[in-house]
Amino acid sequence: MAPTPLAATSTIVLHNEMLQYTLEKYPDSAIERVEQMGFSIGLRLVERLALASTRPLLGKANDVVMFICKDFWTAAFGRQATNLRQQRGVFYITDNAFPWIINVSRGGPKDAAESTLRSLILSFASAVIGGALSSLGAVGSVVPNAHGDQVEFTVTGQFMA
Amino acid sequence: MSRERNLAKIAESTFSKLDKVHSEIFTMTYGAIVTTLVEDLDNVDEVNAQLDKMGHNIGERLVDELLAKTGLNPQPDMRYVMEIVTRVGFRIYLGITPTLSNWNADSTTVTLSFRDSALSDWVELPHTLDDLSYFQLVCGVIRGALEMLGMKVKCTITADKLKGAQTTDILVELQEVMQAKFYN
Amino acid sequence: MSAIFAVALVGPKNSPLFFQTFGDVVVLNLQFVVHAALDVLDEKIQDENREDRRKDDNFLGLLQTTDRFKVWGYISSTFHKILIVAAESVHQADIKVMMTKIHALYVDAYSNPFHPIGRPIHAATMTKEVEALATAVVLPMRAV
Repeated sequence: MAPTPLAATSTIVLHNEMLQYTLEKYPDSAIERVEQMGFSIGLRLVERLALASTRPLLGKANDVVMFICKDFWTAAFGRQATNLRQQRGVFYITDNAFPWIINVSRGGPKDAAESTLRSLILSFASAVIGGALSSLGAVGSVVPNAHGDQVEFTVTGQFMA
Repeated sequence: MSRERNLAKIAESTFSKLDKVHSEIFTMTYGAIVTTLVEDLDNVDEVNAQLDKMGHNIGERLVDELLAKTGLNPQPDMRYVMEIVTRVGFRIYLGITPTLSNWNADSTTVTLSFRDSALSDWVELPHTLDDLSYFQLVCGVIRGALEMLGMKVKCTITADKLKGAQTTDILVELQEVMQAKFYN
Repeated sequence: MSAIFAVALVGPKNSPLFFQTFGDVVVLNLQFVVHAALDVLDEKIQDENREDRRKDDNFLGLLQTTDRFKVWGYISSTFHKILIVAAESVHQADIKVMMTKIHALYVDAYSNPFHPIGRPIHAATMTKEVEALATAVVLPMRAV
């Protein structure tokens, strides 16, 4: 079946189930587990996306990061990234209304559980981005930094070109 | 206007107002969940049970949103509710419109069938996992959704496209009509 | 005589993912041919990186030619490489079409959550479909 548009809620709700299950069953290794899943998802997603393009990126840093901000962000999160900044070889990708955390509360003293969920979703998302970058030839790290619904991902890595 | 056409219209108009994403991310996420469960759990029955449980939670949450977005407020009428679930719910959230067939005389059992679904794109079940019920999540979704709407049902997968059948068929059997959670 | 002798797919570190031969051929020789062609492919991408990028394409064209066969190459953004060893007279257009379809096939195999990334592809579908593609390529008739 050709990929079809779905309500974004399906994916969010599915994530939620996966994260809750992981937290309940593996409280001490939840982050590693969701990172592992996320990485695999990012990798496979990019293989499909790269099929549509007719020009190989060949690991060139700027091309790869643009692809991540546009094609990949749209496929994974439903929209393009809001902003891209580069400083001394480090890329900063911002989404000012990150779809995967929008409905998860900011977390205050009473919201310890939701705060854990929020940070787990961000670890998961970073791993999905990391898997995507890896399959495009980049080796490095993706670190999320959230302020409310806005998230900035710091991408540090070595690109093929 | 016939009830079917009305629901189809509601599906389209609701869908057009929602944030959308292409199904690949959904497909891949579900795939990762299933394969992780297969690795983690000792036997396939446990995996199926877990998928069903997740589906149940998902069904409850999606119906909640569905009713809020569509403004529908159905009585626990099995026929109408199943139409809503298939024509509106499945269409919006799974990108498919299953067919409903083989209603029994008193409208308490029906078979829901679909050929393709976003859940199973590109999936090929390995022979070592013959007893894995990849679509078990869907059974849970139906159960959870219908419970929110006042009906307790039993769902059984009677044919599985990933195991060679032409379509995936789910037998839905009404067990009890109760106070809808939604109304509480 | 078959038009296509071999199809090979290798991963990012030239890890072998898929290899199929067709017709009455010596498999070992073809593996050697593919191996050698991979070196040529790797050099070609390095060149492409330094030159003007406007012309580039996933399809890398001819990698090697002898009087009996030609080796063609293709690379994806994820550094997966497809090589086809074909009879010398097979048209580039046919090879190009085949490359695109093989790309789609391996991506479908990768999209199967039960397939472990990086491992050789044993999907029955892929083997069957690649064979169908290979046997569908017709050997061009020589002018009499």
